[in-house]
Amino acid sequence: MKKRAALLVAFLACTATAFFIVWLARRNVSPAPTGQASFGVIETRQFQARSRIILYDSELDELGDLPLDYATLGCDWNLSPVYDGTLYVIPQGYTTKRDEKTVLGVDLDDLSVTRYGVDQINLYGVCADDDYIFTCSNLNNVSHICRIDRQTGDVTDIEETDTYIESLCLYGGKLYAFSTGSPLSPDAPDESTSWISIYGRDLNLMDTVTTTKLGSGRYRPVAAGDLLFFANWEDTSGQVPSTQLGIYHTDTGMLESKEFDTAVLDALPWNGYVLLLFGDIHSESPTTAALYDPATWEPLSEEHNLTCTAMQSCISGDTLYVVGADRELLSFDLTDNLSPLGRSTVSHIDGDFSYISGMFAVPD
Amino acid sequence: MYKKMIAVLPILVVLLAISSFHTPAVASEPPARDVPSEEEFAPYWEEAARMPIMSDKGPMRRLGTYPTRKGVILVTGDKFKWIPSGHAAIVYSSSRVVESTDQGVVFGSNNWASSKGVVYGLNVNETTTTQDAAAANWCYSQIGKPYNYNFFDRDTRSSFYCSQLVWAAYKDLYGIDLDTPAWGNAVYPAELVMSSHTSTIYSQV
Repeated sequence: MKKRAALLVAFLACTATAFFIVWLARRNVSPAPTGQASFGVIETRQFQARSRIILYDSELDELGDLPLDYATLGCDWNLSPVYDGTLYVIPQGYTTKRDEKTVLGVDLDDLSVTRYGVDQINLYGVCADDDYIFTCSNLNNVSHICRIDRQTGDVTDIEETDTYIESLCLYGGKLYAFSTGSPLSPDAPDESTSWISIYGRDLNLMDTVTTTKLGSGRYRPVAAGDLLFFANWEDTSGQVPSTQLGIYHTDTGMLESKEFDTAVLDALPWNGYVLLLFGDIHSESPTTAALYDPATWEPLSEEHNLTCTAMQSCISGDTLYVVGADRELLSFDLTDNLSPLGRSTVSHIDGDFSYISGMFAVPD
Repeated sequence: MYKKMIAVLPILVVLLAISSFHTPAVASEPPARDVPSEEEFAPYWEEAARMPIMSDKGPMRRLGTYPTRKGVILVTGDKFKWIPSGHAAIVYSSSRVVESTDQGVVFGSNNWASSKGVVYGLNVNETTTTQDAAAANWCYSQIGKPYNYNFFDRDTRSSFYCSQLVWAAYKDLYGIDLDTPAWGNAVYPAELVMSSHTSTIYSQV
């Protein structure tokens, strides 16, 4: 009798231990007070399945992190967007495989993670609205756009051959796919074309806008006030970044461009204005930034040296946050001619190599 | 019997709980045959790190600038699981590379300066910039072909591993053999750095 009781106690103790272990595995290792967060940074590596999302307050202090056991979390050129309080980020998986076939939705209130399965390799672009999540992928120069139904998880898939979709942007009920094609012919082996394919939410193609003269390499299109802004990281030669900012009027269908003296790196809308970042993401030269009125393209601030090569950036409130190529973390006041506010460094997840693959503003 | 079950059952429960720690599923493809170990590659990467940095071809560029010119060869020494040999690709444009992954020959991002730890950019000594661009186009034309898991079969053109793709472009177009005698018929990424036909124009160690 005593032996049976002892065995029963041992069994219950082991079961309790097991449940505790399961709870440990599922909880956030470093739960962050998300209510104080101003922005977040995604840290990852391509050859190890260990990444994390780090949350910061407005003083550049780390609030905590969310570990995620994926490799290549986020694509450091494409945006990981935030929609309705949820961060959408793609874990590609090991860089030589890219077969996670997953989109993650991270609730920025409680850091819960929802996983959406997509049966495509090499996903990299993502955007979302109330009903759907859209993602793009490319394999063997065939691109796919997949629409995931939030409620049912059903996936609708369309295919575009001989096309490389660089990025997606969802605005006004339409999906904008920034695409390039590189026809290889003996007469024009370096010829490439670029365009914007415009789809409805049902993935029916509505229009195509040729953008070849502006260049290609549109990885971070953003929309604000019926305008779609996109920097071209390659000019028509494909060798250097373009000095033209592409502007597509979503209401009229008109395409225009604005020429600048230096290569345009990024466009960030803020309070009806547009903050432009200038520079080459491959260069060691510092990125500069200036604020513009998109109605007149008059500069509203002097061009300010950000003192780093900006790899990622976001605006939260009236502050510009930037991550530099050497993991510098900087903040600038948009209401005061981009005057510097703070400077810090993004910490390392561990002793092995990692890099910053994304940055996002946390909504109020 | 009953007592034994009671003793074993909690152990099984604990083991089951431990196994619930999330580990991403990784397809367990058979490892490439006869891949040298990490220790065997180490001396080559150490020597690669000591290679002098040379100027790139074409218009004057700052010494040691990350390469975006079409046809420059990129090599990383970052190790991936059971393949300690690194990875290689060829620059197709300032924003894209052509590389061979487990998915076959595909486009990748030309972001190695940020996304990888150890990176080398290589020039092929005997070619012009136009010829280098043609080599990148040749690699582009292989897009869609599957991955070659037999590292010693570098002569096949129906499938490619990463460094074989780059090697084959210069071999087929110009007869330039970027391989070294180190590993017989296999051409590993480190050998592209060590080749007498290449110069290092960018190093990130």
